[in-house]
Amino acid sequence: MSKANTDTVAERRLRPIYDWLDNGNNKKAIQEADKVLKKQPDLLCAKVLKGLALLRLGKNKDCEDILEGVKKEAPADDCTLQAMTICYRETHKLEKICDVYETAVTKDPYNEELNTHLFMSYVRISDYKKQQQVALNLYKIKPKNPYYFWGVMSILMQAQTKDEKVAQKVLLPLAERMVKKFIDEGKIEAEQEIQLYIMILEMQKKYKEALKMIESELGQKILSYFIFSRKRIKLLTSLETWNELNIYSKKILLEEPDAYNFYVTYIDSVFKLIEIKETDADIGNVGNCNKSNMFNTYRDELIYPDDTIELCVSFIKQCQEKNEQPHRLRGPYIAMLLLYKKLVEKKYDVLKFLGNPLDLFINYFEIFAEKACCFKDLYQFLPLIQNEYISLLSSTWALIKKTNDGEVKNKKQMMMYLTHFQISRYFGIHEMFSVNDKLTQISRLLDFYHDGHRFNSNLTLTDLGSSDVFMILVVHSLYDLYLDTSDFKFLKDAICLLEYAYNFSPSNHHFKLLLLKLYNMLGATKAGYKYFQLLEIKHMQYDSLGYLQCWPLLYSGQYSFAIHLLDHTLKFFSVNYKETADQLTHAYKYGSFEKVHEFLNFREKLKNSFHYSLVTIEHLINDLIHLPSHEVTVQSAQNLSINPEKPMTDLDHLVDNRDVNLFLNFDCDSKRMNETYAKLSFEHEISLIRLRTILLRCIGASINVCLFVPSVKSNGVSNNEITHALSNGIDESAVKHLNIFSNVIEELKEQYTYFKENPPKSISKNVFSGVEQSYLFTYINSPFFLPLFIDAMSFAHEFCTLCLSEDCKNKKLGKTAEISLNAFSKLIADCNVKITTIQSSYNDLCHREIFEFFSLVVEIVCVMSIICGNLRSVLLASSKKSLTPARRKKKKAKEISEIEANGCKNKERTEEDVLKLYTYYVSTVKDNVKNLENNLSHLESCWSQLEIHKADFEIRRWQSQDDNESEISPILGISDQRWAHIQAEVNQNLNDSYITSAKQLRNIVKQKVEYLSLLLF
Amino acid sequence: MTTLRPFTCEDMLKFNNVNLDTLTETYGLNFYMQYLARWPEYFQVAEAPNGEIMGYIMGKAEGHNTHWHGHVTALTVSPCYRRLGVAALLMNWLEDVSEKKHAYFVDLFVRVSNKVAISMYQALGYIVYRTVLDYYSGNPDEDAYDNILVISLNYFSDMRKALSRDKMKESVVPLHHPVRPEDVE
Repeated sequence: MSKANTDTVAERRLRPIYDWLDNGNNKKAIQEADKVLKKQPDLLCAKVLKGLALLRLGKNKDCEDILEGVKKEAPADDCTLQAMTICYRETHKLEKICDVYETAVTKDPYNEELNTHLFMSYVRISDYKKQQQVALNLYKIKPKNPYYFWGVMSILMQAQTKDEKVAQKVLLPLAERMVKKFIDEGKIEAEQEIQLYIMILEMQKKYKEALKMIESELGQKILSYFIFSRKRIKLLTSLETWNELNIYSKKILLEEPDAYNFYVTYIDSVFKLIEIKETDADIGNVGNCNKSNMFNTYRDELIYPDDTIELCVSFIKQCQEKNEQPHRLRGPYIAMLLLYKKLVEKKYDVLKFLGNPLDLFINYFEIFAEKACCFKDLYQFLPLIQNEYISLLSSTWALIKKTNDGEVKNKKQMMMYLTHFQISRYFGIHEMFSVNDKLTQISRLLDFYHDGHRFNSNLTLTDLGSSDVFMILVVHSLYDLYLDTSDFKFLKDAICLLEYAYNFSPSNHHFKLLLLKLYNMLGATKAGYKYFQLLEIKHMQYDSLGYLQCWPLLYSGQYSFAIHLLDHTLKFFSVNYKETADQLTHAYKYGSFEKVHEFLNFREKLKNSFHYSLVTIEHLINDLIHLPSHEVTVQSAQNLSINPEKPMTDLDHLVDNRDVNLFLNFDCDSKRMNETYAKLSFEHEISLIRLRTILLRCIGASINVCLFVPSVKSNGVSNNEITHALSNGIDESAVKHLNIFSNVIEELKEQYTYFKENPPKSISKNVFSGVEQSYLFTYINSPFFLPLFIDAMSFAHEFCTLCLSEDCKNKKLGKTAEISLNAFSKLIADCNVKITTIQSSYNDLCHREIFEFFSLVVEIVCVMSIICGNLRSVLLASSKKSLTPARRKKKKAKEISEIEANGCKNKERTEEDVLKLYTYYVSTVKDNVKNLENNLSHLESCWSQLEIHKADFEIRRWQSQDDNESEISPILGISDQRWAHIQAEVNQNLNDSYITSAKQLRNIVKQKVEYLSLLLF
Repeated sequence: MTTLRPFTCEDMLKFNNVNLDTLTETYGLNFYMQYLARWPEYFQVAEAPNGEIMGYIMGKAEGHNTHWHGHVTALTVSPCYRRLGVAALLMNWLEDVSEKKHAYFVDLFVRVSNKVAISMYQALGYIVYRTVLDYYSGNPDEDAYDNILVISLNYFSDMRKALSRDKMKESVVPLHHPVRPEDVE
């Protein structure tokens, strides 16, 4: 058979395996591969495909073995290598792809395809030096332009990672020469090649050369004009040639009068030119800048720069006048506001140049108030007229009144009202209102909301309602009332109104976001999660928006949803790594050199996302502490490979990828998630990661102590398997682990003291955004959590030390036990009081706080259970079979005081004492947990038995004082029947969520009762 | 008042106010990055003066001979910034890029039910070239990206506008019979 024939046969045989793999039927793929291998045992590709199927069945080790075997055979055929690449990509072992292609290339050094794959394998791991070698090799094999430029780009990447000196002196000049050679020889083929050349020149700050390049015949021919204009502006700015920049940006602005960025450039250049003129005048240099009165015509303006404020004003006015399309563009008007802002910053006499600045705002309002973005446009300029806001608002009001006589006739008029109300909110007019005034205002806004429904007639369900933003203003006002009064009724009212409005406008994501936020604020995170799902958050949104729901779920006992969300989030991050590496190879393949950098940075940004770290840690903690028995917990701890010695992530590199400005907000900067607050919130989350990492490490360290007791470490911890104990004093590895354990406890103590002494500054409640107060505060403000955690861990440490050492006198041990037990019993007693309170005064309580409290209690219960399990393991390991499990069972716990009184007279006696202490400790913990479980079951029934709670609707109550209640209220616009229905629904949502939370919390506690029972002898 | 600039990876973390809109799909990282790697000039953002993303366009160039054309993969504008001509601006950009690439025409697919979008494209000079039955569920390429195939019977209008290279406007002679997705090149 010829070689070609063998190939086709092989191909035919492999096809079914590929098909099974593609269909996701991995078992069939393995069977098929085995069949093929029987016929043709040396068909490497079949082996690898079998490995791939095994990998996808979760048998990583088997796959690895197969790949190692194949690797030794040094395959050089494309099928096998491709299949191996897939395996290595899926297992994130990108460097192994390089190994196999390196071997293949030594076998077949002139193979273009193999070399290309080798190049791409280096791209995946960012080995720029080797990239360069292979690229130039490729160019020798086949002199194609892309190969040559891959080489150049590889040099550029080296320049960016090497130190500045080498980059500037050696690498960049080399890259420049390489491209220059191609330019001189007329070999340039693609736009990207020129772009790469400009990148190289820019990195060397050779802006003049770069400018010359884009203006050259070649540049003109090959560069798209849009890239050309942007590049030119950028280069002229870098070169600080303000004259040219000014003229050029004017030229573009006359063509594109709405291009904001060019106005910014233009206005900047005007001020730069003025500055230069002034400096020149100071040193007596009368230059060529006195042409301003020489020209007036359009043509001249494109020859001479504008170097006075007057010229600048007249140019922007010209743009405004030219702006006579059917829809007027906002650009030239914002440009004037921008100029105003600049003048104020530079302390110019605004009145002289622009007249009364208030008119600029009024003018803008008059033209654009009907646009939904009018307020957003004005936002950055509003602080400038802080002192004249009353004049502004009365002017805008007058403008509205001019167009209508108290009755809204069309959508445009309605939008004018809306913009007016938004501006008024910005200046905090509502803050001067009493509760009653606020309620009046809410009724008014609701009126507008309902009235606006008539403009929705030709909208589809996927459109947003015309007057929806009025409802959002209503919700913000109700939130204000909640802040004023701390009365949750207002939040419930807001939820009811939003549910009502959501029915009319199911596509409005702002409604969904607000419902999510408000339900979460009321502790009903299951209801909040419904809206999280309706928002269809996925992929990279897990990183940017996951914070909205992840933590509320976790800290309200909604564990199943929380874990689901954490799982999906982690999946996104792990897939990201593979995918970005692949796309990086595409950027080279298509010559998108500017993207190479961007992709690499983005990959890092996702890898260093603090949300990723926090999700990873919480996932680990929850995986570990929610297990049904101590044996499984220990096994799981081994699998999770927690390293108690050092933190898992480098906190300094973490970045904040959250999208925190998602919610519509009409308040001034200090009441929204501004940069300062965002930074503060990020710091809180970093501290939370730090704290949670220490807690996790502490749990891990406590488990490790019992894991590394010699007799236990081999086969997990089942007491039957304990065959021998310590013979020669305390074991070395046990000492090591005890030390690590005590170090982590110390670290935790330090951290706790630090937080007590330096309490983090919290973000004011009147900042309205999706970011809720960090759960860092939940931990450090909890009077019991950290103290109890520390006490219990300290006791565990002392207990282990005692058990593992021959010299076992520790009189303090009983006391330490007592401290942690007392605190724990007190906590459980507190819980019971709390539950009774909840049953009696359900309505006035903050449910979010209740569930946060109980989720911490449950966490501490879990931690105590693990500690008890560890005590048992250590105890068993240390006993020298002197007490059989059967004998132990008969032993009864006695008073600790007895132990103390008798002291440790001899070894045997001590063992007995320790056993007593152990039994006492574990049974006390267990009794308490059992007690808690009972009471939690009452809590659950408290919501199911309660009659459906009727929230008083404050607005209605307020205004129905004079109205006939049975009729449809004209102001509220919602019938009583409808309203009652919505209320019932909302209450149902709340109660359902509370019950689910209580159930899940109790389930874990119940599981821990079992867990603890198993530990008792 | 708009700044047109290239879409960058970071925008994927900030485009939520655009993408949370019901008619805008959020795809996996790979989907966006594939476009960024291959057709970066076709992927542009319209940015508002306050830095918010007003909308974006995503497209590509494909086809052979007289079928060499620009394709609009996604065009979306945030509800706050609608009716300001942002979509027209972005479409204009894509057409310019396609002109530069000497494409014969630009095409796009839009749900037959999306009357607002269809009339907008018509105002921009596009005609309904043909109707495609069940477009998304029949296109294996798109299948890979999550659940866009929600509705089983999706009728799509394949809309086109001829560019200057197509002097005889041959690419925009409408077909009268609907086609199946497998017949769409």
